[in-house]
Amino acid sequence: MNKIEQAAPGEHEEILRVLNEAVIQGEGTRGPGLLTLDKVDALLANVDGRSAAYVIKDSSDQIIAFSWLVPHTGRTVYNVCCEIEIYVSNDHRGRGAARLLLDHTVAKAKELKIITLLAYINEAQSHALAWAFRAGFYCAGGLPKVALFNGSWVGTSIFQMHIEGDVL
Amino acid sequence: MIRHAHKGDAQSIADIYNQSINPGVRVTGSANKVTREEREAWLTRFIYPHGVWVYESDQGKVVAFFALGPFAVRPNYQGVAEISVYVDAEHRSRTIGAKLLVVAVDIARRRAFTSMLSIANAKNIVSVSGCLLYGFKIEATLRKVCFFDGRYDEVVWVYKNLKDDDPPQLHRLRDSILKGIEEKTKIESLCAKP
Repeated sequence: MNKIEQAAPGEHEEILRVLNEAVIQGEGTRGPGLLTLDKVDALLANVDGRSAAYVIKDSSDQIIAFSWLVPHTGRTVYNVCCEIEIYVSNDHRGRGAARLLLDHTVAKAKELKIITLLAYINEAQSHALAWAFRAGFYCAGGLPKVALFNGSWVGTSIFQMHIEGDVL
Repeated sequence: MIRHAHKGDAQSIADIYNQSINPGVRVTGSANKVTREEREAWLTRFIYPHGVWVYESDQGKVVAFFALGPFAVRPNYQGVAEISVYVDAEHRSRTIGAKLLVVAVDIARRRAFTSMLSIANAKNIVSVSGCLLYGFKIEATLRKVCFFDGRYDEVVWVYKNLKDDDPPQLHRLRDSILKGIEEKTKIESLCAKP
């Protein structure tokens, strides 16, 4: 596995590629429409110093996975928590990239004095749900049948991880 | 009377909203007070089918408001209307909040939203219980996600499915709550695009 790097602003387009690959497959919670570069730029604008993005590249320098930490809604009372998202390109799943990115992103969150991480997971993605549970998140609830993906109503689960202690 | 909010209501809306930031009043949102100018800009961000409505007292003073906005966490979930209701401190406990909630649900249904969500501090008992009374359900409890008055608080997501009709008892509750305000407010006009 290649090393993790902080994403450069010029790499947002490649991040978008990996993200939209998942959206097309009905994964994640950012769809159903494809995201645009503007949206990714806005999420990672780092307005208040609480955004961060990390990437893993393959031998040809292509991004194969990324994670990001973004503020939860931007409302000031939520300054103690952030959302985390991790996406791994289809051909590179099951090799530990997600776990590496999680550990790295959690370390960054601790540095930023974030105490709680939130992960929104599409309920149709049983692998992602199971992975989050194994990784130390717990389910705080969810919204049933809240989004229409490819003609089907799909729920969203909300996972939390408290990182101020020794959870990891 | 309930009516669509307009730019001229920004000061009243700011004043009512700012009461909710006072110590001991637990709501989610900003920890900083807002200004008339900020609320003017905020009003312009509500584009149909979203919107903001105000409640005027018999004396013509704005004493409450509610908003149906995009789901802040995932604006791409276009069927979800995030609701917020604020009532002036001097006019609380007079069922204004209940009336606004019932009207908001009517509007959301007629504007084709499929669900409504209130994101509330778990200690905001009045808000959460009011929603539960009207068929909302607590679907998530997020621990230690907000910092308020020097302590960490829980936030609950209170959700109502609008795709299915309400049971008869909620129809009766709706009718009893709306009785008395329907003659002053034409609900149909509130649902229409302003």
